[in-house]
Amino acid sequence: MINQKVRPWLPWLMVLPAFSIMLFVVILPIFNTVFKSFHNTSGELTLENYTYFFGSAEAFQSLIFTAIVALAVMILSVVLSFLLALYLRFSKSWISRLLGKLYLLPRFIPGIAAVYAVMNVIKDSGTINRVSMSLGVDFKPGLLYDIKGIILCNLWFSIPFAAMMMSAALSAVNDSYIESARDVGSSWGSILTKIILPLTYKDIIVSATFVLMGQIGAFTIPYLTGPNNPKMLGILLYQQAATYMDYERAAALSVLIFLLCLGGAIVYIRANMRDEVWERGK
Amino acid sequence: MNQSVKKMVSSVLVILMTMVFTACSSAPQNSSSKSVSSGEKSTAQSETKQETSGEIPTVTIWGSGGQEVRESLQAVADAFNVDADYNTKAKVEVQFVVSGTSEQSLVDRITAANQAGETDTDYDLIALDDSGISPIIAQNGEDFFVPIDTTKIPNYENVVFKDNIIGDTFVPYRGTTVMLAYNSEVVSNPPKTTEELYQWIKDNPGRFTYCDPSTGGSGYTFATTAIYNQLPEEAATSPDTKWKTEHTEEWDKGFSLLAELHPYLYQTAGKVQYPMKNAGSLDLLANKQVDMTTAFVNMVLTNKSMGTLPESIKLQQLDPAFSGALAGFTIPKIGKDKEAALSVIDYYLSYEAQSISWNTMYASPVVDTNKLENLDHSDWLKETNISTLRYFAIGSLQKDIAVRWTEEIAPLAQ
Amino acid sequence: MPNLKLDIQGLTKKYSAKEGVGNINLQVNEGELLTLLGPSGCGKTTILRSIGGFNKIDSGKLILDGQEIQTLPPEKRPTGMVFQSYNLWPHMTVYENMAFGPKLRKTPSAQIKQQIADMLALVKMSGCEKKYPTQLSGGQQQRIAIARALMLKPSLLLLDEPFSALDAKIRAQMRVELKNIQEEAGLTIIFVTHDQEEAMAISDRIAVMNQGCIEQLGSPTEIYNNPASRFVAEFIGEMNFVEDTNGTLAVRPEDVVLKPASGEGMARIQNVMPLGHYTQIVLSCRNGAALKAFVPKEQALYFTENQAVDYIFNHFRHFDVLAHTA
Repeated sequence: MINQKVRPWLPWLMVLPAFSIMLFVVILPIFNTVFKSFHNTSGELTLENYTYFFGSAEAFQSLIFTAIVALAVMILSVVLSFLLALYLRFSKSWISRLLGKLYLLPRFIPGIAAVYAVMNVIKDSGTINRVSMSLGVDFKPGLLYDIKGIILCNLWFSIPFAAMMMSAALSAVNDSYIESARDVGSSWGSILTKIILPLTYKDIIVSATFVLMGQIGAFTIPYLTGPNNPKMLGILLYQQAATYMDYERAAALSVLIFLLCLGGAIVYIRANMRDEVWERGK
Repeated sequence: MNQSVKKMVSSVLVILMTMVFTACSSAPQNSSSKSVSSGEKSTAQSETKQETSGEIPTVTIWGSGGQEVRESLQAVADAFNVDADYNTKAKVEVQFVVSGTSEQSLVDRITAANQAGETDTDYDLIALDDSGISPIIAQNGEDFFVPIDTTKIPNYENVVFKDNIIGDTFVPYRGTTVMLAYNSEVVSNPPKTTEELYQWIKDNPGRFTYCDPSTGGSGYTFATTAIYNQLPEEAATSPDTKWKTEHTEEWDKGFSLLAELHPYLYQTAGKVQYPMKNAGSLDLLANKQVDMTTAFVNMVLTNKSMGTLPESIKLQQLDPAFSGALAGFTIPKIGKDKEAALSVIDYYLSYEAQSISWNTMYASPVVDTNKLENLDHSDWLKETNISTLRYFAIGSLQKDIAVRWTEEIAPLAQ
Repeated sequence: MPNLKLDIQGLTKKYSAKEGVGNINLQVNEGELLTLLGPSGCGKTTILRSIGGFNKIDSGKLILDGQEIQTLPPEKRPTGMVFQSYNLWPHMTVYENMAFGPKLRKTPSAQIKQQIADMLALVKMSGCEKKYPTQLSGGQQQRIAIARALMLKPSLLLLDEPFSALDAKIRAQMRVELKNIQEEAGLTIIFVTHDQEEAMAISDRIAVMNQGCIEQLGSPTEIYNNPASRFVAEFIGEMNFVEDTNGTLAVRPEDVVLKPASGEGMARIQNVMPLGHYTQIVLSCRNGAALKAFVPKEQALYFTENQAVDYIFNHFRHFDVLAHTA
């Protein structure tokens, strides 16, 4: 009783450090960016930073390219990591146990190091090429500095992440759900579509949105492994700041990228907020 | 009620999360200026204390660029701090922003400090080349750097490139030269002139490359040379925009030359690809993907000494030469102790410091090389002697070259 | 002579040298409820899952209705299984849960609907078709699970500790109902439990298992009255073990008859504990051993703590010294 009435401020105090960091490094810079994006270099209110991008063929091309990369990475990583997570969940072999220990490893390798490692394998003079040379063929994979290179490198990071989320989701699918279904005559196919997917689809959507949002603003990987053209939005933004030194336009592009991500966030919220009847009372 | 609170809280969290995603990955100009660590701040405070108590002032050199530049600056700073003639005048610290981590950072930090109205900062000396200085001026005004009185720098006498220096706010401490780097196993008779080079590129499709000019100076130099070879010589040392606005024909010619060369350059995945950064084109050379590229002399020599580039990689200067530059010191008006800063510049121009600079990063000396002692690979110095430095200082026109290249040449690569 | 439903011949399933079951032979008759009873790890669930097809067996034969089924996958076996918990698919209503199997078999939906209504009536859950599992109590969920398993009219119903997650009162109710359902539907059931009381209450026959073997097979009364081994004696019900020169006497507490002693007596009452319709009295014997006796509550009035008493054994079973290891 006594414990309940004291320290009503405690929860606020606990939230304060995180909130103030958020305020100063996230919220304020965002307001600053939005503000800047509606002004020109001499400080006058303008929309030209935005109209520039709406009229620019390069920006449109960049948007399409980013969308293709992001969707490809999303679909591939969701499908591949779902398969991986299924294997980890339902196979009891030593390979599965080993994989279960190893699959998160890429997440602990610093990004740049990993990208260079992948580049060294897939570049035209890389490991693949050297192996093919030793077999007497000069095979140039043509993966690096191409959309395929961006997608491959991104998968390196997104598969462990998505697989981790899906493993968590699949661990909530009890063995007896599966066994009951087999008992009443269900094939593996219908177990997947009727039992496993309905129980895990939310987590699949959530991990898909996470992967997608990460791609929209991606910079390092496309910068190092992508083609000169078309550029992903992250590179276009970097170019606005580094080459054109047009910070106002860069701010406008930041805002546009943010709005794109917001689309992803809405999907995420809807998936997370949808209250299935069967989940109530849990 | 509980449900709606839950919804609200999670919506807010998600929106913030999205913001972090966007902010982290794509808004360098927002986040970087906030990343000055508290450690640096406290150093600044303790310095102030030291100063008021009459002790030796600390001079902080701020630099940006590759790791090797940091090491070189630091090596000279360390020598300064143990040199009895100098360490009574100041104590040198080096703060460095390694490029590739958050490249805009140094400019942003300086701009942030300046815009915050600070006047007593530890931005005592900025060590950058001309291409790094112009963005600072662009954001902070022409008067941001104070004139340097060279009479207070005794070793300034040693400098051999005095004629190349424009204005009175800049004192060079090393040269940056781009030459042609080639694989001598394949190319026995390298081009000696730019015309020969352009012909060689066309004769050997796919075997030459230069990096995206907006990402590395070696590529930028290739593009700049193509344009400025069309212009009168005096244009190279003038930041006047008339060299663009009144000479569009020459610029067009330069860019059409670049466009003409484009299909003969290195290709991967079935199309021309300009590598990113100076290291990107050197990597292609090291892996024998190309036989020739433009490269910073000091990068080639450093890589050769470390064994990451084979001995067979040689350097060749062209005639007319690729555009070169000088890296040097400027003193921001917001720095604390401008007198002490002069003594530091003085030391960096000593023969001793110039030798250290060569030995740590094969920096091209700005002094008479015959007076340098204890050099590693002194034969390489002869090979790459830049007494014929073709000095470029074109200010904001640099940006125009990079922008026009990005708009006209880069789109060809698809 | 009852009809043979399931014949288990030499069933072996080893996970490791110690874990698993070896050479199990067991016959289950038509219409009977046979319980596999034993402590955890004794192999009872292994046998059940082998019958259901969820364990691949190492060797042996499983003959159900005259057909060998050991090589068939679970979906091809005419068995129905109910698990300890998490039987129902949480994202489906009761109706969808129950219709899942018949739909896979393309049963007409009118027929499914009728069948579901019948089955729900059987398990006394009529009218809950539209509910989701989370809206049901644990006991209700297990009833639906049984009803769902019965939808496909299994030849043999396998129940793997179906009531162990329920609380004691519901558990007792469910036993009675299971027995009713079994009789009403004429089911053959193999029931796995570690709860000897539950086994005694519902089984036609019990197979008491220990360390991968069947120790004793018999009706609840046989097993209670004539435990074949010391393990069975100990595992089923309360039992006193009285050391004797030739071995051990096993005596049920209700078979210990007390009367007040005139002098020192054979033992002294240590503790009297009324347990409803009978009273438990713990004696301290001369040799220091403890002895438990259950006396009807009317007689218990004659005894108090520290009182000297004499006792006799109405009924006992003798185990040789050699049998101690059992």
